[in-house]
Amino acid sequence: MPSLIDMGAIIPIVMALLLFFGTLVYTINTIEEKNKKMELLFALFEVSNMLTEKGVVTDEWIEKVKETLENDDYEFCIEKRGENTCEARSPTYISLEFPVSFQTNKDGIPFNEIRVLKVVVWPKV
Amino acid sequence: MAKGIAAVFDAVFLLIIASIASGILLSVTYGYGSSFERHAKGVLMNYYAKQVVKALVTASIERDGVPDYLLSYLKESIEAGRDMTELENMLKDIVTKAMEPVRDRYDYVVSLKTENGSIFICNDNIIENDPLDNYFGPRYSSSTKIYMDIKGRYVPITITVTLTPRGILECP
Repeated sequence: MPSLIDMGAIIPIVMALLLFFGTLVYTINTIEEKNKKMELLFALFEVSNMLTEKGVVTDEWIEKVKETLENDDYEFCIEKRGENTCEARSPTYISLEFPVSFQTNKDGIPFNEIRVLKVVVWPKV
Repeated sequence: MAKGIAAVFDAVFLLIIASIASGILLSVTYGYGSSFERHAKGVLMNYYAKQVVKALVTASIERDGVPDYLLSYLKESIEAGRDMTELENMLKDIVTKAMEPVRDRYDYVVSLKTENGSIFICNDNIIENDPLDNYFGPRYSSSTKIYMDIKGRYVPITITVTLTPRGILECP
């Protein structure tokens, strides 16, 4: 049976172990989370760059981007500001809004109006 | 008894070492990726400014109900030596729309410089002088130079978009 003094030694040891391993687990989780965020940021750049590489954006081009960038690592959604069609399907998501020249037709003549697009990216589960 | 007390001290010493190690781990965790995040924020804002420039270069306007390009109208105005007020207002409308997502966090200056003069838009106001002349704070910027064939001469037009954190820049 452990004496009182032995118990006095056990308590700090248990505390030290709990403190160290607790912090270690927290560190690993946080770094993993930050790495995921970085990966999402790269994905966000990939989608945004492809979306704007032609100079003007059309509905057809948005569809083409969606088809081309379909992959196993992340999912994304593109919406026009004010439409609220994108709902992030994961608590971990990042988004970016930026203006583009959105091409429509006015009586058969191309018309580039300024629209703000929102790109939302989240990891594929 | 002395052996028991020594064991307690050893355990306390272990606790101190564990505390120091945990502190180091936490500080590493806190700092991990923060410089990347700062850099990424700058890249995103520069990207935003670049998109505004692109949008301005390709933007259309309506002239008597017929679509035309903003830059075509600018070329015509320079060729004809026309008053730039209408162009300034068109530019202002486009800039206002383009800056919608960032206006609550950033001040912005859009400048269009030609040989005949310059247009400056600072937070939706058309102004005469460049407010960035006396500004030395952080900024995110993008610029493009276009050459327009005006009466057989290639005239440079420079469009610059600059974003600065809200509240530092003084817009008249």
